[in-house]
Amino acid sequence: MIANPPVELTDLAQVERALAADRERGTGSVRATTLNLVVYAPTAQDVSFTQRALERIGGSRPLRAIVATAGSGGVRATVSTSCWLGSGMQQVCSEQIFLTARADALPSAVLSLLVTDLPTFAWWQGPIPEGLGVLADLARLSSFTVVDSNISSLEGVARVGGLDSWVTDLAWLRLEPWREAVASVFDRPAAAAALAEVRTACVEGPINEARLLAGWLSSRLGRDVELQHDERTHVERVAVRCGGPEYVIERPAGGHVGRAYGEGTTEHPIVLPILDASTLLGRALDIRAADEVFEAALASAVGRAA
Amino acid sequence: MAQVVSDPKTNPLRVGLRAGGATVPAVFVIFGATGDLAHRKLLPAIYNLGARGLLPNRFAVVGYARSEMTDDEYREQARASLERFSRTQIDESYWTAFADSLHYVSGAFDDQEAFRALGERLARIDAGHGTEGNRVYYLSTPASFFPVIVDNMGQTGLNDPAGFARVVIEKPFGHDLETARELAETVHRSFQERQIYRIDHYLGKETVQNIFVFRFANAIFEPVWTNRYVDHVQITVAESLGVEHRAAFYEETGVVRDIVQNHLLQVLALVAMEPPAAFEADAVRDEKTKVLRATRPLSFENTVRGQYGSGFVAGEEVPAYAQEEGVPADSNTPTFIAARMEIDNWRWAGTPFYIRTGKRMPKRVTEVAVQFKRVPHLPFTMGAAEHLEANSLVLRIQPDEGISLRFGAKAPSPTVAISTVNMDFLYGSAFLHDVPEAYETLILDAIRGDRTLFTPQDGVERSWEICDPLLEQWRSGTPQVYASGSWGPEAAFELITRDGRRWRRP
Repeated sequence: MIANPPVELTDLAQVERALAADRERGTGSVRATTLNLVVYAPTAQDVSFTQRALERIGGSRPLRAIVATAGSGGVRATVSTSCWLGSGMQQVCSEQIFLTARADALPSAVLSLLVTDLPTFAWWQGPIPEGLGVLADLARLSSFTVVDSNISSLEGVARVGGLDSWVTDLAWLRLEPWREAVASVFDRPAAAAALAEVRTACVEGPINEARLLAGWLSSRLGRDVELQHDERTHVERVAVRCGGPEYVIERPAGGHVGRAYGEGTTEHPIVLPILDASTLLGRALDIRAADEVFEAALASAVGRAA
Repeated sequence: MAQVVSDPKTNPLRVGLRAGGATVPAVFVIFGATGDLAHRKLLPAIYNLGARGLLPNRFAVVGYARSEMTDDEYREQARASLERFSRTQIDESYWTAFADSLHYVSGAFDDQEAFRALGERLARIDAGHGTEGNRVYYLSTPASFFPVIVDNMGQTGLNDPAGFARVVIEKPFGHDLETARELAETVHRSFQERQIYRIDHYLGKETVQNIFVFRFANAIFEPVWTNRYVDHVQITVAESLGVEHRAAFYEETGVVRDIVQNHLLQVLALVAMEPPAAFEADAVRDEKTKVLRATRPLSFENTVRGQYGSGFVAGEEVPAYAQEEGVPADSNTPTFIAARMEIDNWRWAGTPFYIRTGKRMPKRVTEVAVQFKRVPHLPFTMGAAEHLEANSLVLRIQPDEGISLRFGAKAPSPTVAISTVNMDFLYGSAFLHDVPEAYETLILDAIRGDRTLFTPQDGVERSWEICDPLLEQWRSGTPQVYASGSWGPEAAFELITRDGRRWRRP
């Protein structure tokens, strides 16, 4: 990765000029940008985390990232460009604008910096506030809002879902390999009949992911599926009980190749990757429509007691 | 690609899941498992699919070849191949699971007893891996073995397992129309057409598939994609390499069978076809075959053949084709062709397609250049537009895949002066994604049962009908020698200049 040195500015009108100067220095006059990513990073730790994630995904999705942090005093911006070399020596470049302003000034500052007419994603990093506040303002600027119920709450995610912006929950994306694995168990005609008997999901993993998984089963099957839960850092085991038979998918802690087994099925290995933050964010940025299956799973999960 | 996945109607948990991978269990059987293709391409492709979680959960690979070997020895060979040829590093935790799924059966291709033993082994693998009798057979052998392998599969019931059976065949699909039909008859004795996957790895390239997306996902290009606005189209498939170590193969093949009959006509079909109703196997293949049916056969009068002489390529001195190891000094095998082709349909009548392909060209490049007609009237003084070129749109397939649009712009000046400028878009500057190998795409499609990117028999036959008359005429005479590192013999330039046009310099 080639990073142009950051330029600090207090006048947002200078931001475009500084980025254009970066382009002329390193990449010529042509640029490809595919989206705006507005990141709300409440702490310095969140800003560092965001920087690392952007370094990982910026090369595959040229974007303008506006990383907003609430602070005191006037608006301050630090702008920079990072470029990655492709196999043909062409560069993929992303622009980063680190923005600090009073919380109530952030939305207008962000609005002035968005690249025109591109999809805009808002990635909210902290816990979801009760009254939504700035989150609601940023979501209104965006077509898609990305949150993580693992560091917030499913109820908070549901509130964000009520705004005029499609919501993506990183916890839901983290579950995708598990949902695929559970679904594959019931692909076989013999096991498909057992779907009618699914009563309980036993999940070892983070509570909100467990609730989402049970909510998904309930909403897809059209009846309540009981959740039994043991807390873990990552999902490690899912057992679906169908009356008598039980179907199990498990992976060792820290590993990414697990196994699946159950009545009438042959035990087999299964790839269950632990998706890191940048991979999840990349997947979130590839979503361009409402996810009705998620919305139903969330509604079902929120509708039951935690 | 069209997705073939487990049905959400019978399994409601499937609704909304991304259907990128294969879900139906299967055993992948490689005939010719110890050969170059299996080690360089097939095993790395299968491994990478599995490591990305795209293979079915219940899956196994069985290698079949003459060499005596145990499963463990085959796994060691596979491991060595992956270390050498895989585009990704080996993931040790996945390797353990992958290695467990690898099996080996020893036998000759003409040994029915060995085929029966293979069948028994597959039944045991079904029981152990839960693969439910589903089979994908990949014939990774010289084409001369296809008939005996396919016949023996039919004789021993391997073509009719408890689940589905698909057979993947590598090109060449015959040597001409007659042998292509003979091959098809042989394969059809054991498999129905819907079970046959004729692989042309060129069609698995992301860049080739992008032609389709470019044309049919953008509203601004398709309306001008006709003889009304397009003056002509140039398709160039240039290789900088010579015949290398493939002299025996190339002497039998030549440039028409090696490139034109398959890769180049497929690219032409993608550029010229009508929009299909859906990006699905039958719809896409039908449209491609339709445009090939409208394509006039290659004729002696509208083609130029060449053979590379000695010269310099990228500063390196290289020998002539006739001096290459294994090539007879008096060889008449063409290594270059330039041709003027016509498509007799409503969209393209009167708009020629010029094609050229050859070895030892100045550089390796594949591109499609759509040359537009000039504007009907230029409202500028002659001096202002003196050097103005007609618009052109170039789809670069390799290397540096991208799109280039040439148009006129006002040069900064107190008077009106028009310059021609190129606007380049490089796919690589918008997406730095990890690009899958063509074999990964095609093997996954075969496992999923998606035939969109595979060639149907009627398409194969039509391609031979286009090429056969020329191949017959080329039996006599000799190709013109062109210097290595040039764009072909002088006659290739005359072929196009006689129409008042000129080749692009890629």
